Amino acid sequence: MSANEMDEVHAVTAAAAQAVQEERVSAAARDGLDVLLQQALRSSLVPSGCQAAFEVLDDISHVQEKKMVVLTISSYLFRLVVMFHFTADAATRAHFARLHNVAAAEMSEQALLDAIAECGNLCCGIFNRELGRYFPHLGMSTPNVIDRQCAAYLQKLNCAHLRHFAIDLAELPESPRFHVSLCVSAYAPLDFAVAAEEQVDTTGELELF
Amino acid sequence: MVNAILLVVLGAVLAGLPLSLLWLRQQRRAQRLIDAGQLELVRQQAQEALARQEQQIQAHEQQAQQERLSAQRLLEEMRHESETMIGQLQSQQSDSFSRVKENCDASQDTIAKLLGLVRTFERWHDDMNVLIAHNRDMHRMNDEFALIVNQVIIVALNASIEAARAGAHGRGFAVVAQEVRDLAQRAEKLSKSYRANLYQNDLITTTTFQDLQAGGKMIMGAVIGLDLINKKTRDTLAEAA
Repeated sequence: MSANEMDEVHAVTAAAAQAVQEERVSAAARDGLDVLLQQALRSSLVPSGCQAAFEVLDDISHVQEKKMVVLTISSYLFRLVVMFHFTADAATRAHFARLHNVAAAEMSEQALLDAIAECGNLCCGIFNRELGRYFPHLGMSTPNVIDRQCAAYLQKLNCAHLRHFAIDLAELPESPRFHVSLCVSAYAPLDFAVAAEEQVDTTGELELF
Repeated sequence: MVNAILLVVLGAVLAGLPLSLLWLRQQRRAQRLIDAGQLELVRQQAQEALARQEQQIQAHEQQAQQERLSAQRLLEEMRHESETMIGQLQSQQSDSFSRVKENCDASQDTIAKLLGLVRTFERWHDDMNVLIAHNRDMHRMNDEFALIVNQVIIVALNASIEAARAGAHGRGFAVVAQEVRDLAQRAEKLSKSYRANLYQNDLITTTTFQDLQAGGKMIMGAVIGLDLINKKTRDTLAEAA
């Protein structure tokens, strides 16, 4: 068998594995995960009283951010990897300075990184808490920063559901367009539905855990 | 004369009628009267019957007394058996409580040891940081290697230009310069491939270790839940004992 034939076999095998993965997550579960992540983002990334517009992107190859804050929420049924794309530029610094009520000039490079990681931590904490209503045993990692170029290889994580969001803050035109990715790996059939009354902005206090 | 006789007969008949009625009534009364001998006989019979009945009553009373004593003995035996059984049950319950408490204590001990798993998860976290730092070093070295390769490509290009200037004398040198350039381009391709692999490595390493860390927290949460249940069981046993 030639090298090209081997590559074709590998491609077919990978596509079949991908199809099996995708079948494990029901449409309702995909919608539920998207809704819960958007609610968590509204409660963490968006300043209070500000409206956020979410757009679903099929492709993020054009996104020019430099880094990603990565967090994982794990269960024995699935693994959720949430990635917050960012560039440590002036607009990002101004946004997180406003979010933390400090002057942008006073925010050092490390403080900015910490603020973005903390924002991701808060977002995933809310996401984790809301998911806990449907799945009893969950755990959440601490945040890590990796290069944005790693996002080109997300399919290597055997993801059953991959969703990219772009977030615009219409009332704050100077804020950058944020990009967040959700990658779900399922180890068992995943099916749950977020009830309509749950689909509201939850700004409750985080539980200590 | 006949009339007189008739009158006498009629008188006699009329006089005899009430007398006969009286005589009949006396006869009936005499029949109802019991003579003294008979009465004495009846009295004796009644006394005998009364005596028999008294004897029967005494016999019944004795029997009842015996039955009452027998029932009392039976009741006493049953009470004794019940007390013995209650004592045994209390003893068994106490033993069961002791065993359950021992099991709870053993579970507590195991749970306390399991809570020590957190150190393992911290170790994994430290290992992950070492791996990420190692990957970062490899990125830095690969970037440096890419810079060198770019420099070699520029040098090879310059060498080709210089060889062309040298004309026929530089022909051999041009071949060498081209070889160096080809090698540098292959090295550049390899460096890009290596960089892509390093990014994949970063992603897989980070997400895998985060999965371990999150899984560790999930396990710790479950163990803490078990600990709470075990403590509640111990408290309930302590209240029941």
